[in-house]
Amino acid sequence: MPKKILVVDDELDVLKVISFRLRKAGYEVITASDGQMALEVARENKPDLMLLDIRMPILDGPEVCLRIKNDESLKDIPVIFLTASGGDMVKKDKAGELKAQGFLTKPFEVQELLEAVRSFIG
Amino acid sequence: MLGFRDGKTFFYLDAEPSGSPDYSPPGEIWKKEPSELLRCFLKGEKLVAGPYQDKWGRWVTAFVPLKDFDTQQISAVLGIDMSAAKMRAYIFEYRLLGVLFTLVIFVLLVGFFIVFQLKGIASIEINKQLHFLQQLLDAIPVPVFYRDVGGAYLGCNKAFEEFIGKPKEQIIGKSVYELYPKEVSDVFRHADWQLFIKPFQRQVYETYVQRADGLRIYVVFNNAVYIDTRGDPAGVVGVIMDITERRKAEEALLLSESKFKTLFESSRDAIMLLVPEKGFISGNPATIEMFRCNDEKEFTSYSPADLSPEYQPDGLSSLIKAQQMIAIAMEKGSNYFEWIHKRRDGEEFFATVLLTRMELEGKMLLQATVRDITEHKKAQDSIKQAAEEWQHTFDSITDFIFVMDTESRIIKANEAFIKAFGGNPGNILGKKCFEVVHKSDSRFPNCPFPHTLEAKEVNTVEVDDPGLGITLLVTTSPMLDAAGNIIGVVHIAKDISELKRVQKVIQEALDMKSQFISMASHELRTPLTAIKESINIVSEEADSVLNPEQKQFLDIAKRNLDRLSRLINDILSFQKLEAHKVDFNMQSYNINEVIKEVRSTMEPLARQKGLEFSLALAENLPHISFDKDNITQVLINLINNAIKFTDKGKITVSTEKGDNTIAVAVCDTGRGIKKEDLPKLFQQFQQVGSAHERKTGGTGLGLAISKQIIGQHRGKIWAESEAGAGARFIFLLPIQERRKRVIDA
Repeated sequence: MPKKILVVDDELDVLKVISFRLRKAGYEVITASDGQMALEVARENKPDLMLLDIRMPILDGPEVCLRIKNDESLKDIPVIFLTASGGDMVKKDKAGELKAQGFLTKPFEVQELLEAVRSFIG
Repeated sequence: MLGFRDGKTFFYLDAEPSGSPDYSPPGEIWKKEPSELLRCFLKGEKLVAGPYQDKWGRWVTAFVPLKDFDTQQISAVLGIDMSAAKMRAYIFEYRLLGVLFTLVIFVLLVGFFIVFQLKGIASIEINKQLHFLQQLLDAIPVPVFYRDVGGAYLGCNKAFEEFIGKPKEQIIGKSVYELYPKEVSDVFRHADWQLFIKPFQRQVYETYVQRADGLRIYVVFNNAVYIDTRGDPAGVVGVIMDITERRKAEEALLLSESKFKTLFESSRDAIMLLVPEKGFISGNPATIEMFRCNDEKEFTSYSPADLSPEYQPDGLSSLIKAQQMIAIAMEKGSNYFEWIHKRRDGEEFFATVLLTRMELEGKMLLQATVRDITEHKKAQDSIKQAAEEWQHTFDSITDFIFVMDTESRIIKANEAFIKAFGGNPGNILGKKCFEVVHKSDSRFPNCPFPHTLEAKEVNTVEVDDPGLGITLLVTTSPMLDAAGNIIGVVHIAKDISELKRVQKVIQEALDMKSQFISMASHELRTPLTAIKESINIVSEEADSVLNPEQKQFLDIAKRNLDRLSRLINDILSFQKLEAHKVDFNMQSYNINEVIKEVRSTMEPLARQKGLEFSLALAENLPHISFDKDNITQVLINLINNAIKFTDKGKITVSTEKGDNTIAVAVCDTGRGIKKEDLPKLFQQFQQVGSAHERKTGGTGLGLAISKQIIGQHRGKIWAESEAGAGARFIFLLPIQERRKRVIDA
């Protein structure tokens, strides 16, 4: 039974290349293109890991992360932020509060992505 | 008993104490011998009265007339009572002494012989009376002598002994020539003969003589001839008056007169004498010169009005005003005023005049001291002009300048200040600054005045009083007197509202730029991720179907994507550092350990290029506090550059401990940097040899970022190099006191 990863990004192109890489690496990938949708999909599918873009319309990454961590059924899901801003938003403001497990700065190498993912779900 | 009388009064002197056998009460002679005394006084005859017998015994009285030196009139009669008992002894002594008091004694002798013969008096006690006579002479404080016609001394008093410096015994019988030098003696003898020619004349002459103590003194001789019974001159009686003091006083007077004359003649001030109704009577040379007259005579022919223009500056006629001035001086004693004078050649000049009333030989006149103050006036004018210029300058400055005394009162303000805060000086001067500027009754919170007053230091603060509507940059400076005491505080207040507004605009623009760069970089990253991953996927998936040329182009795309992402990362890093938006995670480390960690990643890169990589680390370095990630970034940047620009040789990283710093140096044996390029190295996008830079794939931001990182660690970074001789990049990190103590402990 392959591990299930939820990838959330409003950029569909980015969503597509990341999904391709992860499927190629043998993971089951589900996607969401905004924060609201991400929460719904997460509750429905109970993924093993979330890759969460920070800058998104409606609900941004940190907000989604907060809600997940405050949801009894979802709080154990590790979250890795995808950021275009060097990860300082996570570092600076909400690192402790968000309980994010890591972050990846765009553009990242495929090796970095897979290493980060493997460090949580093998 | 000895007594004498003048025309009216009987004087009585007595060598004997009252009550002694020889004592005669005053008036006795007068009662007994009126006729003889009167005869002596009126006719000038010497005579002897008596003998008398009374309760004191038997005695005679000799009367000798005394002539006044000046008038040759008989002014007194000398009476000598002689007790008959001692007469003989007197005669005897008289003979032994020789001729003494020839006239008197001769008369006495004659008298006594007659008395002796007629009255049968065996002896008269005359010895005592002679002795007393000598005492009387000795009591006279000025030298008295008498000498005979031949110039031999017959007698003298004590004062004369002192004057000559010899006892009486060595004087009597000696001639003038034996006692005085020849030239003085000649004078005396000549005088004596003059006197003998005209007896009855009193002779007064001045000369100087050497006193016994060697002092040269001026004396006046008062000499007179004494006449024997036949009426022939018998000798000279003289009184010597020392007039040295008087002479000195006269000389001093002469000297002081000459001093005043000199003063008058040589004074640079023009001094003149003026008789109010007559005009000038005298003027010193400075006066003649000042008015350009030919001589004093010409000068004294002018009146004060002649030496003045027609009118004085106040419009009054010089003639009338001069009279007024003179009248004031005459009334009050003096008058000091300014006057315009005119020289004889027509030139006018400013002068001060001091008129002083004085009395000279019973006449009231004025002394005028006139001083030409043209130069002084010029100097005053130039000072006034300078002051005006300064005032103009002061007033044309648009900043507010005002001076306060130590009590916060405004004592001076420029026009800009007056216009802005009060409208006219009356509303400002003397008031407290906060009343005027802040319309408040207490000091503005950050007023710079108290600090300047207390510390005597220049102080600059921004005063942003909402009530004013403007922001002022106020600089206060102490105003010190010559002794260094603070006497006031100068305020220069500049309206910096516009500056503040511009600053705000600039800050907003900078913030916008920063924000824009940040946004743009983020926005670039997302598509970059998509492109990069897409290319990677194609490259991997289609590896088997692509020909070498196609693969090469995909490599070009990948390589440039890498460069683009590095560039974006560096721009973001630099922007954040520049905006001070990077929070440094300061921890204490040994810098050597960090360098060793960097070595493990960088050494392989150097070896790939065939370069040696070595460390020269100082031992026992103290721990210092820094952000490990950022300092690692700096080390990587520097070592990367060294590897990039070195084709052969080696890269050395060394550390060294300085006084308060640790120095880290990265040296290479590359082609070096031209001296003129050194300052540009640390500016963003400044690449030395950009063609090569492209080849080496740098972003041009590495050194700029490093400089920001080191700068924000309170360190310093610089490069040393010469073209062709390798380069040396050094940075210093401070050793913190706290850290030092930990190490010491």
